[in-house]
Amino acid sequence: MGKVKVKLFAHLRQAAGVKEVDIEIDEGETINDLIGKLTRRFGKDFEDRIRDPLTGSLAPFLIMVGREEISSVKGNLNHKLRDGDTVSLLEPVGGGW
Amino acid sequence: MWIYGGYAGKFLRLDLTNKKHSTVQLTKEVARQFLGGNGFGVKILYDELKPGIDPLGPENKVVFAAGPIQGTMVPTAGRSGVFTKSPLTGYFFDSYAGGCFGPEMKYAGWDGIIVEGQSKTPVYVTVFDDKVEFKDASHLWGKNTFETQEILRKDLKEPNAQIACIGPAGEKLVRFACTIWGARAAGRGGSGAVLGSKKFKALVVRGTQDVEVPNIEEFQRVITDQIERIKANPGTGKALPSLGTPGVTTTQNQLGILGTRNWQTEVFEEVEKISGEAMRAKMVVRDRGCMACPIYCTKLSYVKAGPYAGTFDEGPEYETIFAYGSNCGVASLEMIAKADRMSDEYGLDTISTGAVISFAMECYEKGILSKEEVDGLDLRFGNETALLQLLEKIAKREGVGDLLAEGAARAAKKIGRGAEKYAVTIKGLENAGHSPRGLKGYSLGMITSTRGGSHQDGRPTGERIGKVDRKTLEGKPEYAIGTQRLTTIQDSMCVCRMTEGIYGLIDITNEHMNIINVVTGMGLKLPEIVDIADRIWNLERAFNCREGHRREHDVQAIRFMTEPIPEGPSKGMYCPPEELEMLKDKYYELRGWDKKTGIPTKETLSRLGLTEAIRDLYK
Repeated sequence: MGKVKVKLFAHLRQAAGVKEVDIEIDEGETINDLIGKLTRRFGKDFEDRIRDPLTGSLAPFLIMVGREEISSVKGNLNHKLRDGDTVSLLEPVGGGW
Repeated sequence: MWIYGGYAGKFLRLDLTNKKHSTVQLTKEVARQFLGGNGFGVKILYDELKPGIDPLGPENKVVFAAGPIQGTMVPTAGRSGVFTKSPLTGYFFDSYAGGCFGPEMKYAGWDGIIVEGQSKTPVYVTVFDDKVEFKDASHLWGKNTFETQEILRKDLKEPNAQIACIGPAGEKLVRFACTIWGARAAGRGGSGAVLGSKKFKALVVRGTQDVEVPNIEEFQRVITDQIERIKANPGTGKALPSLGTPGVTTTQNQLGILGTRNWQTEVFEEVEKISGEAMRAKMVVRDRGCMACPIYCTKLSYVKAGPYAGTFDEGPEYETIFAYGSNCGVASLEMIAKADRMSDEYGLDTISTGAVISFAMECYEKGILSKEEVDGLDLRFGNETALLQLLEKIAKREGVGDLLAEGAARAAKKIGRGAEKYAVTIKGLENAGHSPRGLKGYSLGMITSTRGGSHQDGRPTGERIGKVDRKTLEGKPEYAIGTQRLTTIQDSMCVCRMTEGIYGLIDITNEHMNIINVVTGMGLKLPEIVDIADRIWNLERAFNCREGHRREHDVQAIRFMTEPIPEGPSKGMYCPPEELEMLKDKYYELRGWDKKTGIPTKETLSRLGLTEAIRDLYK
């Protein structure tokens, strides 16, 4: 049993209503598990902001575990989390118009 | 319907010297080879401009052009472009804006309008379908862009007319003055100054004609499907409607790639104060969309209290928050909104203006510019009052503003004393708010692009959202070419970059092909559309090479090639020249450009049917 700090940005922060939240994790739990916990905690609006409801696929965005960057579409979402990790979920928009 | 759907089939030519107009027929071949917008712009200017002309002289031209989709319901079809030889870069330049101007031009029966010559006195032109009139604009000279539009709509009794105009900055030939319609800016490259040099204050269009497609049922099926997907997509359906482009401010900072204090660092300690979240909570009063767009990313802001109370602004967008915010060390959204509003009124590009001011601030702090040289302003980073005063001076070319109105690169050269190091520009264009040091593919896309310091050719998106690794070099030449092909087709269709998440992010896709074909009925195959993109890109390159552009000009800003990011998650990243040269070798090879000179080879130009470029470059 451990805890990770999740930092949220932009419209994910809006949906969750908080900038950061502590989430308890069990031994061996992964980023995928964490995303599941976050969507259960913050509800459908939050989930719709990271997962396309038409396709069921995760939107492309970066997840930072500490300073390590993991892509939601190309990266290893089975990356195991450790007690004390800080996980940042960035916006699924690249900027630049 | 013309030969193909979507097109009006003709261009309007306005001769300001003789106050005459004429019609230029669009040919089937040009439509198939250059598609629209960007393609039309470069084809016309390549054919009609002599190399070496002064961008602010009578020989330069400005083309307003739309693509085949403008005037239809294709999502984001409100966009259109302005094309000219840039007074900042000296090269071909294209700049775009949303809103409704492009569609209205199509409803008036024109795919584009070519403005040429030079009037002796201020002039504006009305285009109501086929009826074209040149009118005296003396009473509008000196008016800001919003006043100009309001006066014209009232005087002409045309409340729904679309008006492209310049503000006082364009009149004063500020090299980064822009063209405004509504509150949308075709911001970059200085088209406002070119129009100002022609004494051309405004172009008023109103139309009553239809834009036709070959099969309306099929068109509706395709568009309905797209709208559903846009609304479901987390980016276009949730993120952008919620916060618009300012949403990326905090995420840029989290990655350590938010330009701060003239790019001395890329982490801004007060980012939360200028975030999209803060803006929504404090200032946003309404969401707005451009014509035919379901995304509604535009945020209308109103400052309720404090020294900038009463400021109403369409925006600010992310680029402006970067330019007047973090990059000038300012943590006040209210001031950024004020600066944005002033920029729109004066007709100034916010990216270049912010960059020129941050350049001056660094020169001041480093002792390169004395207080006397900056008219007594205390130009330290973060000084909001000084920033706004300097913005006004630039727009009016008063005092030190006259020097800075030349753009950062020219100003640095005039100042000397090592100032060149602090001018963050590529090919004379001030860099936009994305990090070449922290995004390797974007960096290569920028330096090899026609425009230079723009974020519209090299694209940050693929790397920023993790589809492409931002830190490695592998595959970056291919990525840069893919995104450039994509942007070239987007700019020729004239669809917004917002569609990247739906239509394709790092290359031209079947989505683009389907839209082009359902609107035009051309029946183009994907490789043919890639060829169109390459034809346009190579003609742009040929335009620039004809002006003297060579391999050695495809370089990053000095700071990015010599100073690693000093702190934060991207600490240590930069663009060493040897790395850029290696990437350029591969890029040129893939493009079919000569590695030594950077000029497209005869074979490449021949394959694309650009015989005029062979004639000019291989005399």
